[in-house]
Amino acid sequence: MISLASFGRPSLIAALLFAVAGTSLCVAGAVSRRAERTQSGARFLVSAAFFTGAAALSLLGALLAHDFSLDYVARYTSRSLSVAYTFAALWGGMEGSLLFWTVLLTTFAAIALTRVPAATARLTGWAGAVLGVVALFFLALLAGPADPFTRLGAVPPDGNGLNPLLQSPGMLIHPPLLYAGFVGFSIPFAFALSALLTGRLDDSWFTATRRWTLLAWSSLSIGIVLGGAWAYTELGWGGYWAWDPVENASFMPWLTATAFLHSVVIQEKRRMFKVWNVVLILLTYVLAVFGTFLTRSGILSSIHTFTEGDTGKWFLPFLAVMLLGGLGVVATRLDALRSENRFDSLLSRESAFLLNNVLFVAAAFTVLWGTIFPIVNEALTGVRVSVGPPFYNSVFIPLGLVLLALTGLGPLVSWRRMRPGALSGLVRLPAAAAASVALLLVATGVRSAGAVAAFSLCAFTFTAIAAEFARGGRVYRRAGAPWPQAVAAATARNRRRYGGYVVHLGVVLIVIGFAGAAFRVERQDLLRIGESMAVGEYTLVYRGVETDTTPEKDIVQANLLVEREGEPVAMLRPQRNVHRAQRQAQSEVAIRTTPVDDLYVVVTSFDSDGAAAVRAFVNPLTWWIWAGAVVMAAGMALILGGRRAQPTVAPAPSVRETVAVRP
Amino acid sequence: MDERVSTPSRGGTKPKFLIGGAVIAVALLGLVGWAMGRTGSTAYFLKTSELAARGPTTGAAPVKVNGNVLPESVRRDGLVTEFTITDGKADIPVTTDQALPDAFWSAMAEGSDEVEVIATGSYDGRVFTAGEVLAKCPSKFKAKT
Repeated sequence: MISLASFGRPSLIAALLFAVAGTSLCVAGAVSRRAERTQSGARFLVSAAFFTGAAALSLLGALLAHDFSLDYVARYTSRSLSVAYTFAALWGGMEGSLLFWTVLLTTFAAIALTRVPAATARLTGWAGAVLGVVALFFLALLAGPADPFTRLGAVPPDGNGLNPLLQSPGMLIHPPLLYAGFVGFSIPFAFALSALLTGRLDDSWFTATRRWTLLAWSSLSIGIVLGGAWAYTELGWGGYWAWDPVENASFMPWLTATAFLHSVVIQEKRRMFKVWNVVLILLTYVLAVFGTFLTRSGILSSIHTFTEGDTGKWFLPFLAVMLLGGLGVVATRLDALRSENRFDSLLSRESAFLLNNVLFVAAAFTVLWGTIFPIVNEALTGVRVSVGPPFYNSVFIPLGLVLLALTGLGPLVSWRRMRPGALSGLVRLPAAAAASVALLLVATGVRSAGAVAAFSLCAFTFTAIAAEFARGGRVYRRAGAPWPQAVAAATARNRRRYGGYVVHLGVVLIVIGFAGAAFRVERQDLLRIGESMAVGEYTLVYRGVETDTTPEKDIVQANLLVEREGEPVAMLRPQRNVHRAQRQAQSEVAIRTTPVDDLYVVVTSFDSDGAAAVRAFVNPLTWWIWAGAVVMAAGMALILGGRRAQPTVAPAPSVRETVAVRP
Repeated sequence: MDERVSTPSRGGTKPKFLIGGAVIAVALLGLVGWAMGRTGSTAYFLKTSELAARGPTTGAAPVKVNGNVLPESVRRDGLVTEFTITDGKADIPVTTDQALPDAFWSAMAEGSDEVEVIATGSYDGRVFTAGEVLAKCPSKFKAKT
């Protein structure tokens, strides 16, 4: 039988061959410095992207056609699975997600290599070679040990279906966003290595790839938040982040990438931190691939891992080659990467950025330490230990608070040097806001030191950012524009700067949400029909059970009336569903969300007499996390929506810098 | 962290930056060290027979124990669940008032004896009292194909 799936493997083989040819030509072009060779190499890589895409379409076709002769289709879908989740099964299993990774990689590479600005044309050769090598690794995995097109001997009448936990709207976008983030960093990574290999160590490598970096960072940020939202609404333990190894895997590259986004600004304005920037993007990319490795290897168990298969063992040598190769290239170019300027003063924007960087990288290493400590410790001492959330929280609460303060303080400090007196004038208003909030909280009986610190620093940073917008708008205000228009005009004039501030505002709102966790209340009880339980200021009254049946699942639902001060405020309907294809029971959480608090209810079991084991949480201020994420996304859109940012140079007295404006 | 990398402006860095950098580095290392030492940050992760051999746990620090659940040992009474775990060499009864993962009940309903749990809590020499139970179930998908 000729089916769409028959084209999968040939397409992959073709992609592999084109990638070999493209990579070789790019290397040849880079070594011989002949642009036409590089260009034909790039064209071969475009063909590789085309055929990888064809392989993915073929797998998608097989999924949608329920072609259960393919092992992959039989394992991850079933006839009763909705079209949307059948589509999502493309990245729901190991082989498919690697194929999806490779499609993104080759497509991004094709776009980046064929749309190179003239200023960076000479970087294309080595960049193409680096991207080609990465693509070859993944294509070789797909052609060999992780073949998504493996056939089954006997075709089953129906498939196993997708894990019910993964059947959530978040699953349709969370993995693609994370992958787009991970893979997106390969473009600045490749151009950074190329800059090192060609010796063109000005900042063209990161200005040319800035949009890729921003897009990758934005996708990763939104992907991580959506992952948290998925955990919150699906897993039923009342939280959104568990410091699970795979969550950590996506968080580590995010931390180093965030450091990178900030530190390139210093290289751009002050020609400093050149080694640091190259190392940061290298670390980011290696950590992104390490994240993919953690999820694929099965060495750590978590909801995300696909324990079947041993594809993971191929990743370690690949990671080692990239990391050591990258650091080796950096080492050979240390002289050329020397800073063109020095620190002038401890109190300067440069110092603030440096501290920001040190803290972000320390945070990334903390997560790395906690994630791999059990493995290292067992290998060295034979004693198995685990590292839990208290470790991460103990480090991240103080680090996060310092970073939050720096978010407000940094933009107030001027480049090169600043008189302490000038800074204290700017800090007065935010500090007053912080002090008022702290006093108010203590006066109203809040005793959690962490929460008081967090809320008052949120006030500090919020006020500092608001003041920055006001300062920006003042010019237009003087010209007679009303405040909203004045601020909008200032923002439109420098979208990168003010977009960044909007992202910072989002961060402030998210921290408000995190700090709310200090006041979390959790109760569990076994309720018979008619009984009630108290949780925080709410009372849950168990009114009864309803049952229903859909083609996919049997639903059992508890009706819980929510009362507050004796008044009914809502009806919550948590469910326990049995998914027939997997014969798996799953709890569906019911949440009443308000900006003040979330009432989060889950039924963990029903007894035959209708008694329900109810677990309820009051999660104060969680709403602000999602609101902050939306504000962050708006800030990212503001930055990315602008035209290609014109490089600007900070006002600086030295002649060399003032003429360093590129066309 | 690589020394070369952490001092971007080499040659002629002023002493106050070196001192400031050293203070920050010491503070960060101290923070991580302090965090590692806090109760609950790290926990011993033992096999059933290792815990049985060690005997009762002491102090506030919880330990983790893993083993396979004997399917016929599972009893539930309201919020409390009791079951026995084994690693083939020793058995330990576990009691918990926490909700067990859905996958646990699904696997138990099928009578699977391949359900591995990781329980976190304390052991009095007879019974392990768990405040958290994670279940790792066999890949049913793989088993069927």
